[in-house]
Amino acid sequence: MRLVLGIESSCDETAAAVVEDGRLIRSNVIASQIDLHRKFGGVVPEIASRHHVEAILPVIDTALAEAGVTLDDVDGIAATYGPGLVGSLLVGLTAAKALAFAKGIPFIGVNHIEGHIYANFLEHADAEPPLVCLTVSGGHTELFYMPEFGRYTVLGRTRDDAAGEAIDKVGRLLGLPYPAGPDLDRLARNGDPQRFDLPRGLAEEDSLDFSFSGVKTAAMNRLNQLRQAGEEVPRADFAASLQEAVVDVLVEKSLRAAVAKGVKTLFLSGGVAANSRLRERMTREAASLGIRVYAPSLQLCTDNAAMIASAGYYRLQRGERSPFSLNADPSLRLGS
Amino acid sequence: MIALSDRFEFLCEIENEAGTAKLARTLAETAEPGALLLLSGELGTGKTTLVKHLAAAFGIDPNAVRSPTFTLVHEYRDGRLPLVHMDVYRLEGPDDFEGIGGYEYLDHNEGLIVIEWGETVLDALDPDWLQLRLELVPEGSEVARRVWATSEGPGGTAWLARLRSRLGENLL
Repeated sequence: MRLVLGIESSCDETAAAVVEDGRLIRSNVIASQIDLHRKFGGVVPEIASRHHVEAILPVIDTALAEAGVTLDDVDGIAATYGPGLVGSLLVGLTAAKALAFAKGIPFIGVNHIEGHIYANFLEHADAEPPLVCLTVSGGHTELFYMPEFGRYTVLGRTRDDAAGEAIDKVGRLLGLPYPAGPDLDRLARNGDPQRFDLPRGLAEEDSLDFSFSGVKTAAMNRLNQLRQAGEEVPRADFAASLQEAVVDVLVEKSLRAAVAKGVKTLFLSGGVAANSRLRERMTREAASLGIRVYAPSLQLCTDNAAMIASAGYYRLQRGERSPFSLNADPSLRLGS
Repeated sequence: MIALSDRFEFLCEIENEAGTAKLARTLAETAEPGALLLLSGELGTGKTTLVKHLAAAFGIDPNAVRSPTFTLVHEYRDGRLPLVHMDVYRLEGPDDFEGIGGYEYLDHNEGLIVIEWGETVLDALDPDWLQLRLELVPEGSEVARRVWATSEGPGGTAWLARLRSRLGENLL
């Protein structure tokens, strides 16, 4: 088992990648970033499973070509089978099963959330379990304990909104475009994070669960008050204060989880792992506890297929195979 | 403060989360299989919280219910009726709704489908639904919610009538 072709189509992105030995990216192609326009004479809107259908084969072809290989060189095929939109998932999963069946290549279904964890193994050769991983994005906020490859325990998860959703929705009230995370990050760099006191959800509880619905609502009410009073909103200060409220809780609970499990390795993954304040504070505060923090580069924080290939590689390497009857599971969960 | 379109009529006022739970229970008890509920209202008015309580009323773990803004569709099939929770906040219209498989869900609706920000795709739907609009009412330190309702089609209109008669008094 050397080369694994990974395929990802769980939500907005159609993606394919070739990864060597689970760690080395040979190619990593995302439909929205390549010129399908020229290949198809049409644009690829972000949200539409029928556009996954149009994009999937050119994306796979491009991934193989950029890796300088053909399907005959591929030792395994891994595809996301959940969680996600059923129609979108089915496109990538069906393509993967068809190619694996036709070519007699071992096939494995991968959990999308498991994939995000593996983005870190692609870039950090020394990273190994046991570890704790904070997976945080627009759709997910979860803390996992990973004692070894392929085993996961859920330590905590959001009870309402994901951290990225709170950031995006408040960001849009500040006039930032969707998704607001990257712009809010930039805006916050010039702001005072102590200017507005916003609630830290579930901060006092023993639980490692999260709640970001409260900070979203409080921020919205505060903005309304300012506007009704005719005051100009200090946007940078507001962005920084919101970001701090979210980051405070993420850092505090992640470190508490790592200490409780006695691990010295902490992973960040998912789109919000790209947030500069989260990376900076997590790294600094973990170091004082002797814990090392790993985060993927920005392009591997968001949805991609290289992470799916990596997670698939470790499963295939252990001898795991998925049957061709494997179906998409929109509500798939990771860990016990 | 009240700048709603004429088609909405006042349904009830909610004082706290217990009131939200009562509204959700009544919605669940009066819904018939195949029902479509559209939820409207600004950010933070409690749309997702209402869905959590709807899930609980169906026997689904409410802690499993999270906002589908980014993930678009969540399905819960372990309750008394299947519950599909959609959020079309970031869709741009009927084409996107078709793209995420919206019509497949509606065509195979054996339980309840709830669409947050449903007004975005109103023109794409067969006209048979109940629509609730949640609105914040600042009252001293407590923030209450006012709920407005409208319906289309025979199923939606009958549901709204059952809901009104069961809710009785309008303060929850």
